[in-house]
Amino acid sequence: MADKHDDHKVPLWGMFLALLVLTVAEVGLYETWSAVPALKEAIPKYALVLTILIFTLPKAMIVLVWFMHLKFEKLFVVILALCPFVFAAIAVLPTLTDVIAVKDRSMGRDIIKQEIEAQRALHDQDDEHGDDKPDPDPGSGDGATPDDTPADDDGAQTSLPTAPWLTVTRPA
Amino acid sequence: MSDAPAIPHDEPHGHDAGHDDRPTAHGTVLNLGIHNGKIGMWLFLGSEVMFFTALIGAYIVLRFGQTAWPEPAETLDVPLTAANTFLLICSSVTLVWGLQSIQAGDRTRGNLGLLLTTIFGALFVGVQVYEYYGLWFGLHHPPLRPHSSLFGSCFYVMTGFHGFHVFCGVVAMAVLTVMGYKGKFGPKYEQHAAVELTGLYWHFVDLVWIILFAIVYLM
Repeated sequence: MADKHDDHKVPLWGMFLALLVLTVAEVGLYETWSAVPALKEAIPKYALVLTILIFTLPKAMIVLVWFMHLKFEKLFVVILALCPFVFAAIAVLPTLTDVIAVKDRSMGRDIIKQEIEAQRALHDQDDEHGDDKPDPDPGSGDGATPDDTPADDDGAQTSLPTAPWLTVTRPA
Repeated sequence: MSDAPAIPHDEPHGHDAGHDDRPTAHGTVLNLGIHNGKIGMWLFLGSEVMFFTALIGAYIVLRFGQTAWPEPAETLDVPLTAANTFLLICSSVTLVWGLQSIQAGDRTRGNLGLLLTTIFGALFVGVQVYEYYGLWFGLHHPPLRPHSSLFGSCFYVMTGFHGFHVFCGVVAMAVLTVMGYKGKFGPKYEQHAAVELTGLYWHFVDLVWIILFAIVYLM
């Protein structure tokens, strides 16, 4: 039984050129970004990552659709081929919420800093009224800071423990 | 006796016919007009997708969950690996070219395509070994070893497993090349199914590398 592959011709050199151009573009983009400090400051990393993904996706699609002949396959094979990718997305995307939670750490630190400042203000208020109660939260590290020495941002960041939200308690 | 309807023998089976879709002692094989080998290969590739998803998914969570992570350009040799990516892309192109030539009945070009694919694949593995050597002994940057950091262990596990897949593909391509020069392949599907199915694996390995390269080397 002879095969009829004449209508299954892959535009080989066009695909090759597209893959080459996309690879050069993504590498050039990354190398320029990492070599030029001004660009590094102007363009955040996540924007670079998204741009590189935009270049990577068509490359993957060219290989999957044209080189692996999915374009010419029967629907059953297409479904068979795409199912694992759907399951992969289902498996990976929910775990990204964990990434977002970890990224919230910096935001959490801001909230904690505000709480510490609120504690300090409360402490100052108590001092003004002649109340010499001990710091309500000596474990937070900021209770030991002299009141006349404002802790700068970096100082507060570095003095916080690894999981600061677990150790800070609200003032009574 | 099976209740399955009889399959007419003159039914067109598409370009990849050649399978046995008659009732068997264990049931009836689906009459999909798709080569059993192709279904098997896609199922295998499905398991491979899940395997690499586990690795890549873990890396993404670790990478983007950390506030501090080494910049790839300061740790890895990105231009060298970009050139290596180019080699793998070339190997995919030569394989498609070779397969199309075999399908068209041009054995000389078909065999040349297989030979070039084997050479490009072997070069890829060679460059990766050189890259590992440079990273391990710190030829260009501070040494990067599996126990150096979280990035080091992730890097070697992901690229190592991929490199092993490429190595297996190179061995398979070398066998196919020898078979090609012995005149084993022809234009009929049954005569070149091995090339097409191994080609699916090879292109999949290329696909994985395209994603790995972007995630590990450029992010």
